[in-house]
Amino acid sequence: MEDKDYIKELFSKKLGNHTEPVNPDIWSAVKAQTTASVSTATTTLITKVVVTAVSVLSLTAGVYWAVKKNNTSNVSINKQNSIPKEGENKKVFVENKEVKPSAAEENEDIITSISADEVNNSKEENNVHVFSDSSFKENTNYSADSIPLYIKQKSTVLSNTDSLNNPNQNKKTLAVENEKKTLPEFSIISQNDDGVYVFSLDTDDYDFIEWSFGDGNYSTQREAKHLYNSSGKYEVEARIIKGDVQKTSTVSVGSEAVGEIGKLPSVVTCNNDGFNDALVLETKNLSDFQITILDRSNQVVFKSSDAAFSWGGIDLTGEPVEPGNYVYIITAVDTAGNPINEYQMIEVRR
Amino acid sequence: MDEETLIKACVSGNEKAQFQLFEQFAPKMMAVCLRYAENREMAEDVLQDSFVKVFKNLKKFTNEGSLEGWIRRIMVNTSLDAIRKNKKRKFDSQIESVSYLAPQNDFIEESLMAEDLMLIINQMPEGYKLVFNLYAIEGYSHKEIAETLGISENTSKSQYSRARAYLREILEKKGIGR
Repeated sequence: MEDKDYIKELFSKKLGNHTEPVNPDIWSAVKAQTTASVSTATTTLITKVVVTAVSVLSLTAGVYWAVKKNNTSNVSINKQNSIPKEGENKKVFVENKEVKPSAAEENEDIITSISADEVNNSKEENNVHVFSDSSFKENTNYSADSIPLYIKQKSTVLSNTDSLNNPNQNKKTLAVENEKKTLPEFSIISQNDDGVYVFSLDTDDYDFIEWSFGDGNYSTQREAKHLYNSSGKYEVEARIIKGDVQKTSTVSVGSEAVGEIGKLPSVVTCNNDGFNDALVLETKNLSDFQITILDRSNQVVFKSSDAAFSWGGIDLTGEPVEPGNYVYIITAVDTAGNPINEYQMIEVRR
Repeated sequence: MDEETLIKACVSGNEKAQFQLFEQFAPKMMAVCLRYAENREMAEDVLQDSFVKVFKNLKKFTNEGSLEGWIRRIMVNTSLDAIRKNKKRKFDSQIESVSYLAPQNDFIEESLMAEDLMLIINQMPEGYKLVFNLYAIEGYSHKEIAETLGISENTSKSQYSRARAYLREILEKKGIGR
């Protein structure tokens, strides 16, 4: 009996925590099925399905990358067509209840049938995958847009701390009596402190002030700080009230929005690993945009007038281009009318 | 993120969390499924079904016992279900009917050895394989195995001892027995 322990030990030691590469398709399938049940329950809108599909795709790419990183799998990601088929093959687990009366309690609920409904749903979702390339980009844009929201909040916080620091100032103003019926001229002092505008007045002789920053934001601080979400020219208005008299003054800050083309990538790896799979640019304030990608013999392989384009190494005929060096030329005009021209070499790897 | 937070996030439908959980356990569970399944395809099906169950039932997971143990149990149960469902195979196959096809690799590296043990297990007769997996690796008792598989405790014991004899023979052939 001495080798009883030996064999058990050997196998449990070696295989108890053994890991095996996981086919990245499995996550998408699991996700599709999990989400399918949620959306039937909540009757979610199609948009949500799209978003889900987008996440599924990106997560799939994630798994694929992770697996690939471990150098364990060569399975191609482009097997999404097989997912609906897998869905059809899903077994119904109901019968197991009888076969296995002694199953652990948790399994009573686990062994639920996967309804045809859900399978259909997961199919629909998988179809959405097709669009996910473009919608993924929308998604990214969305998150980029949401950043200023945070900054906005931050600026409010700044203003609030301001008032906490100067409680005495308010008291002092209240003490001033409303003698004059007209208010003297005043002007706005604006300072640009590393992108944050600080506005104050050259007078202190008022009870109440309201700032309008020209971008839809307001403040009632004596010294108002504001960070604009996007560059541009803004009319800032200060309205002061003393007693029942009020007066306004304006100043304009900033400059016409300057167009920007963010970082110009010099390499793109079209291998669906979730990183740099396509050439995309982060542009801002452009009124006109044109990109042309040329191969080494100056043949056009891609052309777009949409700044939100995405080039995944596919030429005009829909064929993947050869790995190698390409150049792209961007001609754009920003909203202020300034031309922007860029020229950049890019290496396509697979 | 600790496990409890991760579970909560998964239950609330957070996809990032669900993916993290999947990523954390899938490779290990794939190994579990492979030990039971006939082939990789079947193991993948089981893994997929099991994870769907995991996410659907995660809210019922109580912190008694480990999450890994809970997930592993789902994997094992789903594997057993799949075997029952897919095959009308006779439970007790004869040892004579088994061909010894395990590769004649050298057992030098530790990792290589795990791969080879996986192969040996996969080539075991179904009856031994289930009992052996459950007893030796999953750590079920013979009583639990008997209940799970719907066999008697004695059958479980004898299957296990046959499995051992079988494995000992294979291992000795490969020069790693004692």
